[in-house]
Amino acid sequence: MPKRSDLEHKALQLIMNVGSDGVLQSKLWRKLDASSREGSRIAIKLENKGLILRERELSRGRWTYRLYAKRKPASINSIIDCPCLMCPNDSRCGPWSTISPNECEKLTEWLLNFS
Amino acid sequence: MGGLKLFFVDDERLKKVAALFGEEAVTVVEILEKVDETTDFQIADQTEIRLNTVRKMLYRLYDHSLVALRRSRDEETGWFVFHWRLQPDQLEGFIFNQKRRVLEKLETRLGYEKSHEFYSCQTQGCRPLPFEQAFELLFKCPACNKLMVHVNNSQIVETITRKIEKIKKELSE
Repeated sequence: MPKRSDLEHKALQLIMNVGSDGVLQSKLWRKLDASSREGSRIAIKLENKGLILRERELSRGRWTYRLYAKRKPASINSIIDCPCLMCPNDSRCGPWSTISPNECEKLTEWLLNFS
Repeated sequence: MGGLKLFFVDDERLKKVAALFGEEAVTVVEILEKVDETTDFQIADQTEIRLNTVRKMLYRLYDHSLVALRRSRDEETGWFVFHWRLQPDQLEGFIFNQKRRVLEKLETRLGYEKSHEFYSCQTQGCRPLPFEQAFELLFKCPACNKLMVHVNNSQIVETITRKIEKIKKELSE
């Protein structure tokens, strides 16, 4: 049987992966290969930790909960190709320095690629 | 060790971040992902990446707290052994900090673009100069000696503004 902590981690990952639609608690424990009691305990634990929201929902004539992640994982996509990220001159770069974002050609090139 | 890890780490995001540090960093992270803790020697053995490159990558990741380090002494040789482990819970913080840093640079640049008039010779490879510099050079390009004319920078101002708005929105989510 998988450890409770592993299940919590997996459950949170699953809930975050489904995004804004949320996932039914009854489906979650099936995906996690856990018992319904275990699934329900995990969901309550995650809710108590402030990581998810639970909303009551009637599914196939039975009351269950739909689980939503409270926070979206931060994406790095918007800046992934920004030359400033791993710039070797970063420590010397500033508005009043010789190396500055004002005249940086790499930054200009990155910006022009969007326009 | 072995405590409850309640954070979200998907492979794709972790790999993207590791790729910023170089190709070898991705391989190092892939090894670290599979184990709780490992030494730089073991990583070098498994990956066939040179030991000093492995260490270089680990220290770069360590600078951003993406990996943690534990030191122990080898009883036989008396040398220090470094044990490394991934800290995926720091990924969110890393992304957040990088966005704030880029945002700061973009705001600086936006202020500069908005407060200056630019002149350019329109030759590829020659960069536009602000009015003050162009005036001192009598509007002759210092690189190709061609006459510089006024250029409209509204497109770049708009691009920076949009980018700033996007990053600010992401930071507030």
